[in-house]
Amino acid sequence: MSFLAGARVGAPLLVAMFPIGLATGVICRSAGFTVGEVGLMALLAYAGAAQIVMSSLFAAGAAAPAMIWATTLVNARFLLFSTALVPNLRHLKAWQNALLGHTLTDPSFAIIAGTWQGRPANPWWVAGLHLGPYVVWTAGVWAGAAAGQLLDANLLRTLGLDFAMPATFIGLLVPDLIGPGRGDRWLAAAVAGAAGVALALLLPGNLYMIVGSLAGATVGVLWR
Amino acid sequence: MMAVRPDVLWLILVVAAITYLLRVAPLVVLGRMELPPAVSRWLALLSTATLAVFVAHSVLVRDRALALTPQNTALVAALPTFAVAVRTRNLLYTVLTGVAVTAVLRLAIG
Repeated sequence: MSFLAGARVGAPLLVAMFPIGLATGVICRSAGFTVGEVGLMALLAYAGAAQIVMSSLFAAGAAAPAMIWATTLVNARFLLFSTALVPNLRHLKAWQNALLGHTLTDPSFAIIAGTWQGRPANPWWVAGLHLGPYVVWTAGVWAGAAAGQLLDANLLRTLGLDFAMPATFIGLLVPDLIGPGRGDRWLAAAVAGAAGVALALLLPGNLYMIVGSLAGATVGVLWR
Repeated sequence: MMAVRPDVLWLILVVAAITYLLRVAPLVVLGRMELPPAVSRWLALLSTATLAVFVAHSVLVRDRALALTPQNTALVAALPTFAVAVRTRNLLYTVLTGVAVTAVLRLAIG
């Protein structure tokens, strides 16, 4: 019953995740990954923003360490989500957290934290919340990658899908900037954005992203 | 095209392993510890800062040069995309807006 209750809370996420998964699959495919590779990424890494970052770097011919570093930075937020959920999930057995943790996402973090408010969460409820989005996302990415074979880059551009990646980042960034405690985040985002753009004109490769984001976060912390 | 190249498989496995550790390590290991406030603050700002760099770069830079012209469809499409993101805070609506506006701009430019 707890499983179904969790699934019901997570149901609205499915509407958003399938089309975004489709677009992510198309982007990854057009970056040069095979359908099998795109599907594996969704299944094993299960991180849309990281998949898109990896694709843009892969398409630009970046070296593996740059892609690994970039996806690690983009996914660093999971460390925080996971840490923030310790009060809700510390009573679970290690194997339960090892399973449920893999399917932790930005919206599921927000839903767990909001629903249980620091109280111990029911593991079956969390499983119900996480399973639907995981299946639907992976299916959407796979379908997008398969359909991407039928589409060429020009058609993707005509359909505006090359802007799906920047739009996704805007959609993830904006809630960060208008939520509570946003002052430091505005400063970090402004410093990182300005430094990133300036460095992109000066430095080779993807150094702009690494130096820019480290500078933004550090200035944001030191400001206090 | 279900093939998986060995070097790409390794890349995916490393990224997946790191992502998994980021998600699970605090839950399993840090159960009884707490990060110093400055460290968790820095991590929170790091993901915001990383997103900001990607947004600024993908909207403002083309071919390693500033592209502050109306011909830069990403720059023009970013305005309604930001507006929808602020109003709805909905990722789906935000992405659909950006994609639709970009498609219309391409039609208009020809």
